[in-house]
Amino acid sequence: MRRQIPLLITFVVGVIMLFEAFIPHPPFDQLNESLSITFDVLAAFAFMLGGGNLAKIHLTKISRSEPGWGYSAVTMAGFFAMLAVGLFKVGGPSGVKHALEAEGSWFQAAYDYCFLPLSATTFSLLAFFVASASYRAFRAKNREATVLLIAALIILLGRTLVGTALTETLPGSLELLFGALLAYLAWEQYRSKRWVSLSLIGAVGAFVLIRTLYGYLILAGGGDFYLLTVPDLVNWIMVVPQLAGQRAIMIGICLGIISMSLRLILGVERSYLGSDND
Amino acid sequence: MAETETPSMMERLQAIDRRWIFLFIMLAVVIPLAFDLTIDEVATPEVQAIYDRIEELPPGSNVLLPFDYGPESEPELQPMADSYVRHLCRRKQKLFFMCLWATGQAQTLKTVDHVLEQEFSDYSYGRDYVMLGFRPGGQGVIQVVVSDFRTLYQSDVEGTPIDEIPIMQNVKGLKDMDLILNISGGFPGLKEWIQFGGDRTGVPVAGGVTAVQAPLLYPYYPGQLSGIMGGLKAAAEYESLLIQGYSEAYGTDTERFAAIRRMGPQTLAHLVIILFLVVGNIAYFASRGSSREQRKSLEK
Repeated sequence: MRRQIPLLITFVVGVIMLFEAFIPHPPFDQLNESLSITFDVLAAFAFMLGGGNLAKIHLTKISRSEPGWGYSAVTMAGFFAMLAVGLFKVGGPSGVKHALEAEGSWFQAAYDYCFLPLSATTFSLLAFFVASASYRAFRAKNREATVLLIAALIILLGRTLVGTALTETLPGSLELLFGALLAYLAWEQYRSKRWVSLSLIGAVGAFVLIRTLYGYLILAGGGDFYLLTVPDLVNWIMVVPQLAGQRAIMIGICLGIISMSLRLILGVERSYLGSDND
Repeated sequence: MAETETPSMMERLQAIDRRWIFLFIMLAVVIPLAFDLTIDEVATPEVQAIYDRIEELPPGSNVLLPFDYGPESEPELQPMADSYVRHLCRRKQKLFFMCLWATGQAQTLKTVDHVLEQEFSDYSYGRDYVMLGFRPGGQGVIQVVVSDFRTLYQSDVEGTPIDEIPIMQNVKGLKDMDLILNISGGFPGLKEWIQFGGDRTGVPVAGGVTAVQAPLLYPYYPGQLSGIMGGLKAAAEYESLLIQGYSEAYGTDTERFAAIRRMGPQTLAHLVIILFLVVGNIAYFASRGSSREQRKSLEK
């Protein structure tokens, strides 16, 4: 019975929510709203549970003087201080009636002068560590890493105005760069496939040269010749290969969610109930 | 005793002390700030789409502004929040602030204090804008406010009953909004507003997120998402659009536009990272080549 009732509740709630997605009319929409409110109430209780858990873990650490207990003491001091000024609305203009963020409230002051700068500082450190890590680890060790590195460099350039300026002042420079890269790759195959390699280098060289010269001639004549720019390339990376990858991941995740939800609704997946020994 | 081999320059470059990298990044951030280096941005179509969407709204439209972020993403997201409010106030729209993050209300207050109250003194609380505040529950909150705000919000942040607030008189649920303009630093955020808010009600959704989040949201643009702003660059692009569109109000004043001012340090920091990436790879290939030659000579 201890297991049947939660399984039944899961089944009924799951089926209601499923039906509501396809039939957004009474009584399903009302039931969905009621269940959502229940979820929100439970979510509010989760705050208490989270706070209690935090206090339990850190107070145990402090009482046992475990390594790093000093950090736990700071955490607890911050936690209880914020809890006290928030609960009793210390320093506010009209006792406990005012909003937490009202002018003069200690809660808002603690948020503005402690929490905010500390959070921003911690997050800012990322810039330093990302730079250091990318210098050490981001190497063109194989083909995949090279593609990733080139894409990252283009995106990084595109996120600055230098990317725009580079291809605006020197139209065709990006094509030249890609041409050089292709030519280098072809040159690497020179020993094994001499004629294929030479023809590829020749074709790339001729195409880039003719296209760039043609482009500059039109530009000199006051015309508008479309040449590849860094922002265009960034946009293409974001909306074509990146988007395709994201969609594939999303579809995979969604299929996983659907199968997991069906397992939960049908009672196949029971791990959330805990073990029989509990 | 074996003779210790002195590492080549390329090997030394590969094993450079990371404090040098930290120093370069610090200089890349500090120098543009010290010299107030600002850069004008050209808007990308995703950013332009949000600007145009707000321009197309008739004055007096209801715009929901859920600010779902905290201080850790404030440098990227606060300029977006400020720009949205500036633009919406210039267009005389009605603003409804709320948040799914506990830290969101404090961030909302920053925009209200620094932008709305300072620059738009004709905007009155309760008549032109309201702060509904935070409610726990994440996407559960969105599902409830789809049909009725009053189910979860009996009062605003100041404790005033919702029914006594003039701006709420003609508003029941999310369907009464003309636009949802979310700013999100993670979960719950823009994705949840699309899935549980916009898709269910048909209300257009647009918004801004951190640069690392933006790629995850591109699959929703332009179908379910009217426009998207990713990171500081997009915020600077929006500010540039505002300066161009409302030149009579802002002129060449970039002092109040935080994203444009912050793009200088970001640009230089990106360039430093690019430089390090290139140098690191050159050193890697050079040292790999020299070690190959050494191996060959040993074999001979």
